[in-house]
Amino acid sequence: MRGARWGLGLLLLLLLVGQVARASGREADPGATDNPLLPLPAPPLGVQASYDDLPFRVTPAKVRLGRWLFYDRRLSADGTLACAGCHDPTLGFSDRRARAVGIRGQVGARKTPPLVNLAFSLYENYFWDGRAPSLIAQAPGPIQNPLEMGSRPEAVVTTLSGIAGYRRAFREAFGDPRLDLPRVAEALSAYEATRLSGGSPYDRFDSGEEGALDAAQKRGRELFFGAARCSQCHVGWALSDAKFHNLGVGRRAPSAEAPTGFADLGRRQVTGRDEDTGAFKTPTLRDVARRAPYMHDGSLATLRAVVLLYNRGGNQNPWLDRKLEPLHLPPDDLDALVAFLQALDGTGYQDQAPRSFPR
Amino acid sequence: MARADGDLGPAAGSVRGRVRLTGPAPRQKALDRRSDPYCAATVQLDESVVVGRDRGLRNVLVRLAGPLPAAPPPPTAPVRVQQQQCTYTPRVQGLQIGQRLEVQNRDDTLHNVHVYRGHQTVLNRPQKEGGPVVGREVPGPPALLEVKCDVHPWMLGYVWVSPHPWFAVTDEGGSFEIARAPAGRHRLEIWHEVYGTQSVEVDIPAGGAARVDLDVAAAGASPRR
Repeated sequence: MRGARWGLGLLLLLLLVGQVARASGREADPGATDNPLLPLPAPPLGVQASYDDLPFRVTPAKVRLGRWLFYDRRLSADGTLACAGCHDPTLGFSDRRARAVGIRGQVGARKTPPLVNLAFSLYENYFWDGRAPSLIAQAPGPIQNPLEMGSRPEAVVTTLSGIAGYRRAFREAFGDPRLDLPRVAEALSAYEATRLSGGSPYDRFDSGEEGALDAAQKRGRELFFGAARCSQCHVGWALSDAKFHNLGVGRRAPSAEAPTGFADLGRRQVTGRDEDTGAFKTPTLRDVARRAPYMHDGSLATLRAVVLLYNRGGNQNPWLDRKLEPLHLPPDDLDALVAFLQALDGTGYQDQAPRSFPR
Repeated sequence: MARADGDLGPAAGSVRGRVRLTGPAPRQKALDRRSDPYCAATVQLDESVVVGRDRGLRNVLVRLAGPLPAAPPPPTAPVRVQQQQCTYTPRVQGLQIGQRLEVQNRDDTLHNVHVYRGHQTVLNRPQKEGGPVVGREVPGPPALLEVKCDVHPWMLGYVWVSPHPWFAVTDEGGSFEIARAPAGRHRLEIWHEVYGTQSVEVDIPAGGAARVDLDVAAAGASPRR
Protein backbone atom coordinates (compact mmCIF):
# COMPACT_ATOMS: atom_id res chain seq x y z
CA MET A 1 0.00 0.00 0.00
CA ARG A 2 2.64 2.53 1.03
CA GLY A 3 4.71 1.82 -2.10
CA ALA A 4 1.69 2.52 -4.28
CA ARG A 5 1.03 5.82 -2.48
CA TRP A 6 4.68 6.81 -2.98
CA GLY A 7 4.37 5.89 -6.62
CA LEU A 8 1.20 7.92 -6.96
CA GLY A 9 2.78 10.89 -5.19
CA LEU A 10 5.80 10.72 -7.44
CA LEU A 11 3.60 10.54 -10.49
CA LEU A 12 1.61 13.54 -9.37
CA LEU A 13 4.82 15.41 -8.61
CA LEU A 14 6.17 14.66 -12.07
CA LEU A 15 2.94 15.76 -13.69
CA LEU A 16 3.02 18.97 -11.69
CA VAL A 17 6.61 19.68 -12.64
CA GLY A 18 5.74 18.89 -16.24
CA GLN A 19 2.85 21.38 -16.18
CA VAL A 20 5.03 24.09 -14.68
CA ALA A 21 7.72 23.43 -17.27
CA ARG A 22 5.25 23.66 -20.13
CA ALA A 23 3.66 26.79 -18.70
CA SER A 24 6.98 28.58 -18.34
CA GLY A 25 7.85 27.48 -21.89
CA ARG A 26 4.81 29.42 -23.12
CA GLU A 27 5.04 32.50 -20.92
CA ALA A 28 8.83 32.83 -20.94
CA ASP A 29 8.84 33.05 -24.75
CA PRO A 30 12.40 34.24 -25.36
CA GLY A 31 11.37 37.22 -27.50
CA ALA A 32 8.64 38.53 -25.26
CA THR A 33 10.84 41.05 -23.55
CA ASP A 34 12.99 42.41 -26.37
CA ASN A 35 10.63 41.95 -29.29
CA PRO A 36 7.28 43.01 -27.87
CA LEU A 37 4.15 43.83 -29.82
CA LEU A 38 4.32 47.54 -30.49
CA PRO A 39 1.91 49.96 -32.16
CA LEU A 40 2.96 50.87 -35.69
CA PRO A 41 5.42 53.78 -35.53
CA ALA A 42 4.09 57.13 -36.69
CA PRO A 43 5.88 58.59 -39.71
CA PRO A 44 8.63 61.01 -38.63
CA LEU A 45 8.76 64.66 -39.64
CA GLY A 46 8.88 65.14 -43.39
CA VAL A 47 7.55 61.68 -44.23
CA GLN A 48 4.01 61.58 -45.57
CA ALA A 49 3.54 57.84 -45.47
CA SER A 50 0.33 56.06 -44.58
CA TYR A 51 0.27 52.31 -43.96
CA ASP A 52 -3.16 52.28 -45.59
CA ASP A 53 -1.55 53.10 -48.92
CA LEU A 54 0.26 49.76 -49.00
CA PRO A 55 -1.08 46.82 -50.99
CA PHE A 56 -0.81 44.55 -47.94
CA ARG A 57 -2.02 45.00 -44.36
CA VAL A 58 0.62 45.99 -41.85
CA THR A 59 -0.20 44.85 -38.31
CA PRO A 60 1.84 44.90 -35.08
CA ALA A 61 1.91 41.09 -35.04
CA LYS A 62 3.29 40.88 -38.56
CA VAL A 63 5.86 43.56 -37.79
CA ARG A 64 6.99 41.72 -34.69
CA LEU A 65 7.33 38.46 -36.61
CA GLY A 66 9.07 40.25 -39.46
CA ARG A 67 11.55 41.78 -37.07
CA TRP A 68 12.59 38.36 -35.81
CA LEU A 69 12.87 37.02 -39.34
CA PHE A 70 14.87 40.03 -40.52
CA TYR A 71 17.61 39.45 -37.94
CA ASP A 72 17.50 35.65 -37.87
CA ARG A 73 20.52 33.96 -39.41
CA ARG A 74 18.69 30.67 -39.60
CA LEU A 75 16.97 31.83 -42.79
CA SER A 76 20.23 31.37 -44.70
CA ALA A 77 21.46 28.02 -46.03
CA ASP A 78 24.30 27.72 -43.53
CA GLY A 79 22.74 29.66 -40.69
CA THR A 80 25.30 32.47 -40.79
CA LEU A 81 23.58 35.34 -42.56
CA ALA A 82 20.41 37.30 -41.84
CA CYS A 83 18.87 40.05 -43.95
CA ALA A 84 20.42 42.46 -41.48
CA GLY A 85 23.84 41.12 -42.35
CA CYS A 86 23.78 43.32 -45.46
CA HIS A 87 20.93 45.67 -44.57
CA ASP A 88 22.49 47.32 -41.52
CA PRO A 89 19.81 48.91 -39.33
CA THR A 90 21.99 51.90 -38.46
CA LEU A 91 23.10 52.69 -42.02
CA GLY A 92 19.74 53.29 -43.67
CA PHE A 93 19.53 49.49 -43.96
CA SER A 94 22.32 49.45 -46.49
CA ASP A 95 26.01 48.95 -45.72
CA ARG A 96 29.50 50.23 -46.47
CA ARG A 97 30.64 47.64 -48.97
CA ALA A 98 30.80 48.29 -52.70
CA ARG A 99 29.07 44.98 -53.37
CA ALA A 100 27.02 42.75 -51.17
CA VAL A 101 28.81 39.81 -49.56
CA GLY A 102 26.75 36.68 -49.04
CA ILE A 103 27.31 33.34 -47.33
CA ARG A 104 30.75 31.80 -47.65
CA GLY A 105 32.21 35.19 -48.47
CA GLN A 106 30.77 35.29 -51.98
CA VAL A 107 30.77 38.77 -53.51
CA GLY A 108 27.66 39.80 -55.42
CA ALA A 109 27.27 42.01 -58.47
CA ARG A 110 25.66 45.03 -56.88
CA LYS A 111 25.63 47.20 -53.79
CA THR A 112 23.04 46.51 -51.08
CA PRO A 113 20.21 49.01 -51.63
CA PRO A 114 18.86 50.95 -48.64
CA LEU A 115 15.49 49.91 -47.25
CA VAL A 116 14.38 53.10 -45.50
CA ASN A 117 11.01 54.40 -46.72
CA LEU A 118 11.15 51.63 -49.30
CA ALA A 119 7.65 50.30 -48.87
CA PHE A 120 6.28 53.56 -50.23
CA SER A 121 7.93 53.41 -53.62
CA LEU A 122 6.30 55.73 -56.17
CA TYR A 123 6.32 53.08 -58.88
CA GLU A 124 6.14 49.57 -57.55
CA ASN A 125 9.35 47.90 -58.52
CA TYR A 126 12.20 46.64 -56.35
CA PHE A 127 15.89 45.83 -56.79
CA TRP A 128 18.28 47.99 -58.81
CA ASP A 129 16.67 46.67 -61.99
CA GLY A 130 13.10 46.69 -60.72
CA ARG A 131 12.51 43.02 -61.41
CA ALA A 132 10.35 42.53 -58.30
CA PRO A 133 6.88 44.06 -58.84
CA SER A 134 6.17 44.43 -55.13
CA LEU A 135 7.90 44.53 -51.78
CA ILE A 136 6.58 41.08 -50.95
CA ALA A 137 8.02 39.74 -54.23
CA GLN A 138 11.40 41.22 -53.30
CA ALA A 139 12.02 39.47 -49.97
CA PRO A 140 12.42 35.89 -51.25
CA GLY A 141 15.07 37.09 -53.71
CA PRO A 142 18.04 37.45 -51.37
CA ILE A 143 16.91 34.46 -49.34
CA GLN A 144 17.21 32.23 -52.39
CA ASN A 145 20.06 33.92 -54.23
CA PRO A 146 23.01 31.50 -54.12
CA LEU A 147 25.40 34.45 -53.75
CA GLU A 148 23.43 35.91 -50.85
CA MET A 149 21.60 33.74 -48.30
CA GLY A 150 21.67 30.71 -50.57
CA SER A 151 18.61 28.91 -49.25
CA ARG A 152 15.51 27.37 -50.86
CA PRO A 153 11.81 27.89 -50.08
CA GLU A 154 11.42 24.34 -48.74
CA ALA A 155 14.44 24.73 -46.48
CA VAL A 156 13.19 28.01 -45.04
CA VAL A 157 9.75 26.60 -44.40
CA THR A 158 11.14 23.42 -42.83
CA THR A 159 13.47 25.36 -40.58
CA LEU A 160 10.81 27.76 -39.36
CA SER A 161 8.11 25.12 -38.99
CA GLY A 162 10.39 23.17 -36.71
CA ILE A 163 10.57 26.07 -34.26
CA ALA A 164 7.61 26.20 -31.91
CA GLY A 165 8.09 29.89 -31.23
CA TYR A 166 7.83 30.67 -34.94
CA ARG A 167 4.78 28.47 -35.39
CA ARG A 168 3.11 30.51 -32.66
CA ALA A 169 4.23 33.81 -34.12
CA PHE A 170 2.92 32.95 -37.59
CA ARG A 171 -0.41 31.88 -36.12
CA GLU A 172 -0.56 35.12 -34.20
CA ALA A 173 0.28 37.22 -37.24
CA PHE A 174 -1.87 35.48 -39.83
CA GLY A 175 -4.64 33.86 -37.82
CA ASP A 176 -3.97 30.31 -39.00
CA PRO A 177 -1.04 27.87 -38.87
CA ARG A 178 -0.02 28.07 -42.55
CA LEU A 179 3.70 28.84 -42.80
CA ASP A 180 5.13 29.40 -46.28
CA LEU A 181 7.58 31.67 -48.08
CA PRO A 182 4.99 34.25 -49.18
CA ARG A 183 4.04 34.72 -45.53
CA VAL A 184 7.67 34.99 -44.54
CA ALA A 185 7.97 37.68 -47.22
CA GLU A 186 4.87 39.49 -46.03
CA ALA A 187 6.06 39.59 -42.42
CA LEU A 188 9.47 40.87 -43.55
CA SER A 189 7.72 43.51 -45.68
CA ALA A 190 5.59 44.60 -42.74
CA TYR A 191 8.72 45.18 -40.68
CA GLU A 192 10.40 47.00 -43.56
CA ALA A 193 7.35 49.23 -43.99
CA THR A 194 7.89 50.58 -40.49
CA ARG A 195 11.48 51.61 -41.23
CA LEU A 196 10.78 55.26 -41.96
CA SER A 197 13.57 57.82 -42.05
CA GLY A 198 12.71 61.44 -41.49
CA GLY A 199 13.27 64.28 -39.04
CA SER A 200 16.56 65.12 -40.74
CA PRO A 201 17.97 68.66 -40.67
CA TYR A 202 16.48 69.02 -44.16
CA ASP A 203 13.02 68.05 -42.93
CA ARG A 204 13.29 70.40 -40.00
CA PHE A 205 14.36 73.29 -42.20
CA ASP A 206 11.53 72.56 -44.58
CA SER A 207 9.05 72.77 -41.77
CA GLY A 208 10.24 76.23 -40.78
CA GLU A 209 13.23 75.68 -38.48
CA GLU A 210 15.61 78.25 -39.96
CA GLY A 211 18.67 77.15 -38.03
CA ALA A 212 18.42 73.51 -39.00
CA LEU A 213 20.70 74.00 -42.02
CA ASP A 214 23.92 75.97 -42.06
CA ALA A 215 24.81 78.40 -44.85
CA ALA A 216 26.54 75.81 -47.04
CA GLN A 217 23.67 73.37 -46.63
CA LYS A 218 21.14 76.05 -47.53
CA ARG A 219 23.07 76.80 -50.67
CA GLY A 220 23.27 73.08 -51.39
CA ARG A 221 19.53 72.80 -50.99
CA GLU A 222 18.94 75.63 -53.47
CA LEU A 223 21.20 73.86 -55.96
CA PHE A 224 19.61 70.47 -55.31
CA PHE A 225 16.19 71.79 -56.29
CA GLY A 226 17.59 74.19 -58.89
CA ALA A 227 20.70 74.41 -60.99
CA ALA A 228 22.13 71.02 -60.00
CA ARG A 229 18.84 69.35 -61.07
CA CYS A 230 19.05 66.59 -58.45
CA SER A 231 15.36 66.84 -57.66
CA GLN A 232 14.47 65.86 -61.21
CA CYS A 233 14.97 62.26 -60.17
CA HIS A 234 15.47 62.48 -56.42
CA VAL A 235 11.96 63.74 -55.87
CA GLY A 236 9.30 63.84 -53.14
CA TRP A 237 9.72 62.93 -49.50
CA ALA A 238 11.48 59.69 -50.37
CA LEU A 239 13.89 61.61 -52.64
CA SER A 240 13.43 59.07 -55.42
CA ASP A 241 11.19 58.82 -58.48
CA ALA A 242 11.61 55.03 -58.43
CA LYS A 243 12.34 55.15 -62.15
CA PHE A 244 15.37 53.91 -64.08
CA HIS A 245 18.12 56.16 -65.36
CA ASN A 246 21.40 55.57 -67.18
CA LEU A 247 24.21 57.69 -65.77
CA GLY A 248 26.92 55.83 -67.63
CA VAL A 249 28.12 54.25 -64.38
CA GLY A 250 29.78 50.86 -64.79
CA ARG A 251 30.40 51.22 -68.49
CA ARG A 252 33.62 49.95 -70.00
CA ALA A 253 34.82 49.67 -73.56
CA PRO A 254 32.46 47.45 -75.56
CA SER A 255 33.64 43.86 -75.78
CA ALA A 256 32.45 40.54 -77.11
CA GLU A 257 30.86 39.61 -73.79
CA ALA A 258 29.39 43.06 -73.27
CA PRO A 259 28.79 44.69 -76.64
CA THR A 260 27.06 47.66 -75.03
CA GLY A 261 29.98 48.19 -72.68
CA PHE A 262 27.66 47.44 -69.75
CA ALA A 263 28.48 44.09 -68.15
CA ASP A 264 25.47 44.78 -65.91
CA LEU A 265 22.62 45.73 -68.23
CA GLY A 266 20.42 46.94 -65.39
CA ARG A 267 16.78 47.52 -66.30
CA ARG A 268 17.29 46.11 -69.77
CA GLN A 269 17.82 42.70 -68.20
CA VAL A 270 14.20 42.82 -67.09
CA THR A 271 12.43 44.57 -69.95
CA GLY A 272 14.67 43.62 -72.86
CA ARG A 273 14.29 47.16 -74.20
CA ASP A 274 17.29 48.79 -75.77
CA GLU A 275 16.54 52.18 -74.21
CA ASP A 276 16.79 50.60 -70.73
CA THR A 277 20.43 49.63 -71.24
CA GLY A 278 22.57 50.48 -68.25
CA ALA A 279 19.65 52.11 -66.45
CA PHE A 280 19.26 51.59 -62.72
CA LYS A 281 16.61 52.58 -60.23
CA THR A 282 16.92 55.92 -58.47
CA PRO A 283 17.66 55.14 -54.81
CA THR A 284 16.49 57.28 -51.94
CA LEU A 285 19.00 59.85 -50.73
CA ARG A 286 17.90 59.67 -47.13
CA ASP A 287 20.81 58.67 -44.90
CA VAL A 288 23.06 58.72 -47.95
CA ALA A 289 26.04 60.07 -46.02
CA ARG A 290 25.96 56.98 -43.81
CA ARG A 291 26.27 54.41 -46.56
CA ALA A 292 29.17 55.08 -48.92
CA PRO A 293 30.17 53.88 -51.49
CA TYR A 294 27.59 54.75 -54.12
CA MET A 295 25.87 53.60 -57.30
CA HIS A 296 24.64 50.13 -58.19
CA ASP A 297 28.19 48.80 -58.30
CA GLY A 298 29.54 50.81 -55.38
CA SER A 299 32.07 52.36 -57.73
CA LEU A 300 31.90 55.92 -56.37
CA ALA A 301 33.63 56.10 -53.01
CA THR A 302 32.41 59.47 -51.76
CA LEU A 303 29.58 61.94 -52.12
CA ARG A 304 32.03 64.33 -53.74
CA ALA A 305 32.78 61.75 -56.42
CA VAL A 306 29.05 61.44 -57.05
CA VAL A 307 28.58 65.17 -57.36
CA LEU A 308 31.57 65.38 -59.71
CA LEU A 309 29.99 62.71 -61.91
CA TYR A 310 26.83 64.76 -62.27
CA ASN A 311 28.78 67.97 -62.74
CA ARG A 312 30.34 66.55 -65.86
CA GLY A 313 26.98 65.29 -67.05
CA GLY A 314 27.40 61.61 -66.25
CA ASN A 315 29.53 59.30 -68.39
CA GLN A 316 28.76 59.74 -72.08
CA ASN A 317 27.20 56.72 -73.72
CA PRO A 318 24.46 56.12 -76.27
CA TRP A 319 21.83 55.50 -73.59
CA LEU A 320 22.68 58.36 -71.28
CA ASP A 321 19.56 59.76 -69.60
CA ARG A 322 18.48 62.94 -71.31
CA LYS A 323 18.13 64.75 -68.01
CA LEU A 324 21.91 64.72 -67.61
CA GLU A 325 23.99 67.59 -68.89
CA PRO A 326 27.23 69.11 -67.67
CA LEU A 327 26.39 71.54 -64.90
CA HIS A 328 29.63 73.56 -64.77
CA LEU A 329 29.20 74.23 -61.07
CA PRO A 330 32.21 75.75 -59.28
CA PRO A 331 33.93 73.87 -56.41
CA ASP A 332 32.14 75.88 -53.70
CA ASP A 333 28.80 74.78 -55.09
CA LEU A 334 29.93 71.17 -55.21
CA ASP A 335 30.94 71.43 -51.55
CA ALA A 336 27.56 72.95 -50.77
CA LEU A 337 25.78 70.04 -52.45
CA VAL A 338 27.78 67.54 -50.41
CA ALA A 339 26.97 69.52 -47.26
CA PHE A 340 23.27 69.35 -48.10
CA LEU A 341 23.43 65.60 -48.74
CA GLN A 342 24.89 65.25 -45.27
CA ALA A 343 21.77 66.95 -43.92
CA LEU A 344 19.59 64.02 -44.97
CA ASP A 345 20.48 61.72 -42.07
CA GLY A 346 17.18 60.79 -40.47
CA THR A 347 15.82 59.24 -37.33
CA GLY A 348 12.96 56.91 -36.57
CA TYR A 349 14.13 53.78 -38.32
CA GLN A 350 17.23 52.69 -36.47
CA ASP A 351 17.02 49.35 -34.78
CA GLN A 352 19.16 46.52 -33.47
CA ALA A 353 18.81 42.79 -33.56
CA PRO A 354 16.60 41.24 -30.89
CA ARG A 355 18.75 39.52 -28.28
CA SER A 356 16.92 36.25 -28.61
CA PHE A 357 14.87 34.47 -31.18
CA PRO A 358 11.97 32.02 -31.18
CA ARG A 359 12.88 28.51 -30.04
CA MET B 1 -13.05 89.50 -67.46
CA ALA B 2 -11.42 88.24 -64.31
CA ARG B 3 -13.65 88.79 -61.27
CA ALA B 4 -13.40 88.40 -57.54
CA ASP B 5 -16.43 88.21 -55.27
CA GLY B 6 -16.08 90.09 -52.02
CA ASP B 7 -18.36 90.36 -49.08
CA LEU B 8 -21.64 92.21 -49.14
CA GLY B 9 -20.51 94.86 -46.68
CA PRO B 10 -22.54 97.78 -45.41
CA ALA B 11 -21.54 99.66 -48.57
CA ALA B 12 -20.08 97.79 -51.51
CA GLY B 13 -18.96 98.74 -54.95
CA SER B 14 -16.59 97.35 -57.54
CA VAL B 15 -13.34 98.20 -59.21
CA ARG B 16 -12.64 97.32 -62.79
CA GLY B 17 -9.99 98.24 -65.26
CA ARG B 18 -7.09 97.27 -67.47
CA VAL B 19 -3.37 96.93 -67.08
CA ARG B 20 -1.32 97.70 -70.17
CA LEU B 21 2.32 97.25 -70.99
CA THR B 22 3.96 100.29 -72.50
CA GLY B 23 7.17 99.89 -74.45
CA PRO B 24 8.36 96.87 -76.39
CA ALA B 25 7.11 93.56 -75.11
CA PRO B 26 9.80 90.89 -74.79
CA ARG B 27 9.52 88.09 -77.30
CA GLN B 28 8.13 84.90 -75.82
CA LYS B 29 10.74 82.19 -76.28
CA ALA B 30 9.95 78.50 -76.51
CA LEU B 31 10.91 76.64 -73.37
CA ASP B 32 13.53 73.90 -73.57
CA ARG B 33 11.59 70.85 -72.41
CA ARG B 34 13.78 68.15 -73.83
CA SER B 35 14.50 66.52 -70.47
CA ASP B 36 11.06 64.90 -70.66
CA PRO B 37 9.92 63.53 -74.04
CA TYR B 38 6.28 63.79 -72.98
CA CYS B 39 6.63 67.52 -72.39
CA ALA B 40 8.89 68.04 -75.41
CA ALA B 41 6.14 66.70 -77.68
CA THR B 42 4.34 70.04 -77.42
CA VAL B 43 5.79 73.50 -77.71
CA GLN B 44 5.24 75.84 -74.78
CA LEU B 45 6.27 79.47 -74.74
CA ASP B 46 7.71 81.27 -71.75
CA GLU B 47 4.71 82.96 -70.16
CA SER B 48 6.46 85.24 -67.72
CA VAL B 49 5.28 88.17 -69.87
CA VAL B 50 2.13 87.71 -71.92
CA VAL B 51 0.76 90.70 -73.78
CA GLY B 52 -2.64 90.49 -75.48
CA ARG B 53 -4.59 92.72 -77.83
CA ASP B 54 -4.12 96.42 -77.32
CA ARG B 55 -1.11 95.82 -75.08
CA GLY B 56 -3.15 94.19 -72.32
CA LEU B 57 -0.84 92.58 -69.75
CA ARG B 58 -2.01 89.19 -68.58
CA ASN B 59 -1.50 87.53 -65.18
CA VAL B 60 -1.22 90.73 -63.19
CA LEU B 61 -2.40 90.30 -59.62
CA VAL B 62 -4.64 93.19 -58.57
CA ARG B 63 -5.54 93.61 -54.91
CA LEU B 64 -6.85 96.05 -52.36
CA ALA B 65 -4.33 96.93 -49.69
CA GLY B 66 -4.15 98.94 -46.52
CA PRO B 67 -6.72 99.20 -43.75
CA LEU B 68 -9.88 97.40 -44.84
CA PRO B 69 -13.09 96.22 -43.17
CA ALA B 70 -13.10 92.75 -41.68
CA ALA B 71 -13.01 90.07 -44.34
CA PRO B 72 -15.63 87.32 -44.60
CA PRO B 73 -14.46 83.76 -43.90
CA PRO B 74 -12.62 82.03 -46.74
CA PRO B 75 -14.67 80.18 -49.36
CA THR B 76 -15.16 76.45 -48.83
CA ALA B 77 -14.46 75.74 -52.49
CA PRO B 78 -10.79 75.01 -53.14
CA VAL B 79 -8.52 76.85 -55.53
CA ARG B 80 -6.94 74.49 -57.99
CA VAL B 81 -3.66 74.43 -59.92
CA GLN B 82 -3.49 72.09 -62.89
CA GLN B 83 -0.39 70.36 -64.20
CA GLN B 84 -1.29 70.27 -67.86
CA GLN B 85 1.03 70.05 -70.86
CA CYS B 86 3.82 70.35 -68.29
CA THR B 87 2.62 73.84 -67.36
CA TYR B 88 1.02 75.22 -64.22
CA THR B 89 -2.44 76.56 -65.02
CA PRO B 90 -3.54 79.14 -64.07
CA ARG B 91 -0.12 80.71 -63.82
CA VAL B 92 -1.21 83.33 -61.30
CA GLN B 93 -4.18 83.17 -58.92
CA GLY B 94 -5.14 84.00 -55.40
CA LEU B 95 -6.83 82.41 -52.46
CA GLN B 96 -7.91 83.59 -49.05
CA ILE B 97 -6.08 82.58 -45.87
CA GLY B 98 -7.49 79.23 -44.73
CA GLN B 99 -8.79 78.29 -48.17
CA ARG B 100 -7.80 74.95 -49.62
CA LEU B 101 -5.24 74.76 -52.42
CA GLU B 102 -5.42 71.70 -54.64
CA VAL B 103 -3.08 70.42 -57.32
CA GLN B 104 -4.00 67.98 -60.04
CA ASN B 105 -1.87 66.06 -62.52
CA ARG B 106 -3.57 65.82 -65.88
CA ASP B 107 -0.42 64.82 -67.71
CA ASP B 108 0.92 61.41 -68.63
CA THR B 109 4.14 61.98 -66.79
CA LEU B 110 5.36 62.25 -63.21
CA HIS B 111 5.20 65.71 -61.64
CA ASN B 112 6.25 66.80 -58.19
CA VAL B 113 4.56 69.98 -57.11
CA HIS B 114 6.63 71.96 -54.65
CA VAL B 115 4.95 75.06 -53.25
CA TYR B 116 7.22 77.49 -51.43
CA ARG B 117 6.55 80.33 -49.05
CA GLY B 118 9.96 81.96 -49.22
CA HIS B 119 12.20 78.98 -48.66
CA GLN B 120 9.74 77.09 -46.53
CA THR B 121 7.83 74.22 -48.09
CA VAL B 122 4.06 74.49 -48.09
CA LEU B 123 3.41 71.43 -50.22
CA ASN B 124 5.77 68.85 -51.70
CA ARG B 125 4.06 65.93 -53.40
CA PRO B 126 4.94 63.60 -56.23
CA GLN B 127 1.99 62.79 -58.48
CA LYS B 128 2.05 59.96 -60.94
CA GLU B 129 0.11 60.05 -64.15
CA GLY B 130 -3.57 59.72 -63.23
CA GLY B 131 -2.81 60.07 -59.54
CA PRO B 132 -5.16 61.64 -56.99
CA VAL B 133 -5.53 65.37 -56.39
CA VAL B 134 -3.39 66.59 -53.50
CA GLY B 135 -3.88 69.69 -51.42
CA ARG B 136 -4.10 71.42 -48.08
CA GLU B 137 -5.56 74.44 -46.36
CA VAL B 138 -3.16 77.35 -46.67
CA PRO B 139 -2.49 79.29 -43.50
CA GLY B 140 -1.43 82.93 -43.20
CA PRO B 141 0.29 85.26 -42.96
CA PRO B 142 -0.28 86.84 -46.40
CA ALA B 143 2.39 85.78 -48.87
CA LEU B 144 3.06 85.12 -52.49
CA LEU B 145 3.62 81.39 -52.89
CA GLU B 146 5.80 80.04 -55.66
CA VAL B 147 4.61 76.87 -57.33
CA LYS B 148 7.39 74.82 -58.88
CA CYS B 149 7.79 71.30 -60.18
CA ASP B 150 10.82 69.44 -58.85
CA VAL B 151 10.93 67.28 -61.98
CA HIS B 152 10.45 69.99 -64.60
CA PRO B 153 12.40 73.15 -63.81
CA TRP B 154 10.64 75.43 -66.32
CA MET B 155 7.25 74.98 -64.65
CA LEU B 156 6.28 77.97 -62.55
CA GLY B 157 3.13 79.35 -60.98
CA TYR B 158 2.12 81.78 -58.27
CA VAL B 159 -0.57 81.78 -55.62
CA TRP B 160 -1.27 84.92 -53.63
CA VAL B 161 -2.42 84.15 -50.08
CA SER B 162 -4.73 87.02 -49.30
CA PRO B 163 -6.19 88.16 -45.98
CA HIS B 164 -9.41 89.07 -47.79
CA PRO B 165 -11.32 88.25 -51.00
CA TRP B 166 -10.79 91.59 -52.76
CA PHE B 167 -8.31 90.62 -55.44
CA ALA B 168 -8.33 89.54 -59.08
CA VAL B 169 -5.96 88.50 -61.86
CA THR B 170 -5.95 90.17 -65.27
CA ASP B 171 -7.09 88.10 -68.25
CA GLU B 172 -5.74 87.86 -71.80
CA GLY B 173 -6.86 91.42 -72.48
CA GLY B 174 -5.30 92.78 -69.31
CA SER B 175 -8.75 93.31 -67.77
CA PHE B 176 -9.84 92.69 -64.19
CA GLU B 177 -12.82 93.24 -61.94
CA ILE B 178 -13.09 93.13 -58.17
CA ALA B 179 -16.79 93.00 -57.31
CA ARG B 180 -18.52 93.61 -53.95
CA ALA B 181 -15.53 95.47 -52.57
CA PRO B 182 -15.84 97.82 -49.60
CA ALA B 183 -16.76 101.34 -50.65
CA GLY B 184 -14.42 104.18 -49.79
CA ARG B 185 -10.92 105.29 -50.57
CA HIS B 186 -8.43 102.42 -50.68
CA ARG B 187 -5.02 101.57 -52.02
CA LEU B 188 -5.01 99.33 -55.08
CA GLU B 189 -1.83 97.31 -55.67
CA ILE B 190 -0.83 95.48 -58.78
CA TRP B 191 1.94 92.90 -58.97
CA HIS B 192 3.55 91.26 -61.98
CA GLU B 193 6.22 88.58 -61.75
CA VAL B 194 8.65 90.55 -63.92
CA TYR B 195 7.57 94.16 -63.51
CA GLY B 196 6.98 94.12 -59.77
CA THR B 197 4.55 96.19 -57.75
CA GLN B 198 2.77 99.49 -58.28
CA SER B 199 -0.01 101.07 -56.33
CA VAL B 200 -2.61 103.79 -56.77
CA GLU B 201 -5.43 105.25 -54.74
CA VAL B 202 -8.93 104.30 -55.73
CA ASP B 203 -12.30 105.66 -54.64
CA ILE B 204 -14.90 102.90 -54.66
CA PRO B 205 -18.42 104.34 -54.76
CA ALA B 206 -21.13 102.55 -52.77
CA GLY B 207 -23.36 100.77 -55.28
CA GLY B 208 -21.12 101.86 -58.16
CA ALA B 209 -17.95 100.94 -60.05
CA ALA B 210 -14.57 102.61 -60.00
CA ARG B 211 -12.44 102.47 -63.12
CA VAL B 212 -8.65 102.09 -62.82
CA ASP B 213 -6.36 101.77 -65.80
CA LEU B 214 -2.66 101.28 -65.19
CA ASP B 215 0.36 101.34 -67.38
CA VAL B 216 3.35 99.17 -66.67
CA ALA B 217 6.58 100.22 -68.30
CA ALA B 218 8.48 97.51 -70.13
CA ALA B 219 11.58 99.59 -70.62
CA GLY B 220 14.32 99.03 -68.07
CA ALA B 221 12.97 95.71 -66.85
CA SER B 222 14.59 92.48 -68.01
CA PRO B 223 12.37 89.42 -68.02
CA ARG B 224 13.39 86.70 -65.60
CA ARG B 225 15.21 83.74 -67.20
